[in-house]
Amino acid sequence: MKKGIGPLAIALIGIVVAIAVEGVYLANFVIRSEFSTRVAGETLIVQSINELEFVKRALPPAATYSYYQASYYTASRGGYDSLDVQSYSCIPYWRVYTETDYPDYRTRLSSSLLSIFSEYLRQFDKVTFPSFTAEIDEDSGRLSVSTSDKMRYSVTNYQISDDPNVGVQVDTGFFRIYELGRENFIDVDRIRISIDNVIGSHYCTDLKETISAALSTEISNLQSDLNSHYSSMGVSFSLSVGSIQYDPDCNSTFAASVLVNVRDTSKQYMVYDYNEMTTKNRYIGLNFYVFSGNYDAEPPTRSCSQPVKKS
Amino acid sequence: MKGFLIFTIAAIGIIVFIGIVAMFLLPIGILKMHTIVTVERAYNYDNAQSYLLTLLSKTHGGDFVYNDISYSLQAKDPLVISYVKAELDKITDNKCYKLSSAINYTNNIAMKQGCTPVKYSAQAKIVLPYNPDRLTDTLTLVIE
Repeated sequence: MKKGIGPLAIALIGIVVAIAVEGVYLANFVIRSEFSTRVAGETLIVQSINELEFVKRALPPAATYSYYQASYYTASRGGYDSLDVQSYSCIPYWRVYTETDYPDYRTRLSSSLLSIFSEYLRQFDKVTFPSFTAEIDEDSGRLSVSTSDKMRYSVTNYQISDDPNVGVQVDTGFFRIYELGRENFIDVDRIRISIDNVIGSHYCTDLKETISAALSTEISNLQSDLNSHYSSMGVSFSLSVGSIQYDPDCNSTFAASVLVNVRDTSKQYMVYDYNEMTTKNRYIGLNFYVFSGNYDAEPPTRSCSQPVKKS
Repeated sequence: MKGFLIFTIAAIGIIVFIGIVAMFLLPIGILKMHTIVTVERAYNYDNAQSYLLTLLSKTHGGDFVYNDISYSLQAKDPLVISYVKAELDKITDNKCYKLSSAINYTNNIAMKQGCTPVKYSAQAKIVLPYNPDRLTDTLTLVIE
């Protein structure tokens, strides 16, 4: 009898031992699985924090690039982002006879800046951004793009948030082109003074070509005067006569549009130009028209095909 | 005959025992290896990310390396960022590395000579000076 029980006992012991070993390893397996899951989760969190840090690192340059692009863009459109005043090919009339439209360029610049900044933010599709406001301290050159909310980076079952406020140092020296444009073409009508000089030295019967050439010379002289006065400040003026509308009965009675370009030549910025469709180092230049004369006419207008940067 | 039967049953018992033990040891061994490899990969990937983050946070000549790289990529001017290699040598402690961009004008922005890194790569999207057709580029740093 004893001899018959022997192999069964061995087999039973083997199975019991196997089950015991299995239990030990199964527990170990479960513990290790938890460890692996935790490691994977922690790794994902660290990676997400790094990803958010990369986004945070991108915000100051995005704000800076937005600022210079908005400055270039609004200045090239006479200080307007959307042209809600009389304009010719995306350039507004700052003056039509005695009527003047001097832009609130700081507000327009901020609006355009935020619109461009939003374009940058949309590139980071995994992050949700709140709405921002922009403030430029002209004296200190401090640009603040801020919000009271946080940016959020969402992954499957958790979310990381961080403060997205940006404060960067920017150049504001080129704002003087607005002031110089206002001083010379809003506060006084220098174009009208030039036109009056032409009118005073010509007759109704003079040829239109003669009047036109005389006006071009006067405007060229005005440009020289302005440049000799302001070139030391790193500002250059460029004036060109656009269209001239004559009184049918008298050629020395006319009105002319003059394109004024005031350019800050102290520094170039890497910005995009919608006409050339390239990004390269460019000066920031202000463009606007002045329409004036002793003949009552409507200034020529033409619609603008450039995109409007509106947030 | 009886002796043979006993031996057979005992042998079966031992085989079953070894089989069951091996059945659990093998996956656990594989899991352990997998865990080590995963942790090592994650650690080195984090390292690659950290190197890239460190590089982009550094300043050079009063300006952020980030800005220099982004200007350089938009202007297609490799000279602007010629110092990046020296910075990366320091940051990676002379490990094998390669830094490239998705729309690069040459093959690489900077790389360690005499080796080809393949193991761990980290990517970062960086913003470029404004161009509506190309607002960002992706930098890739491969190490080891």
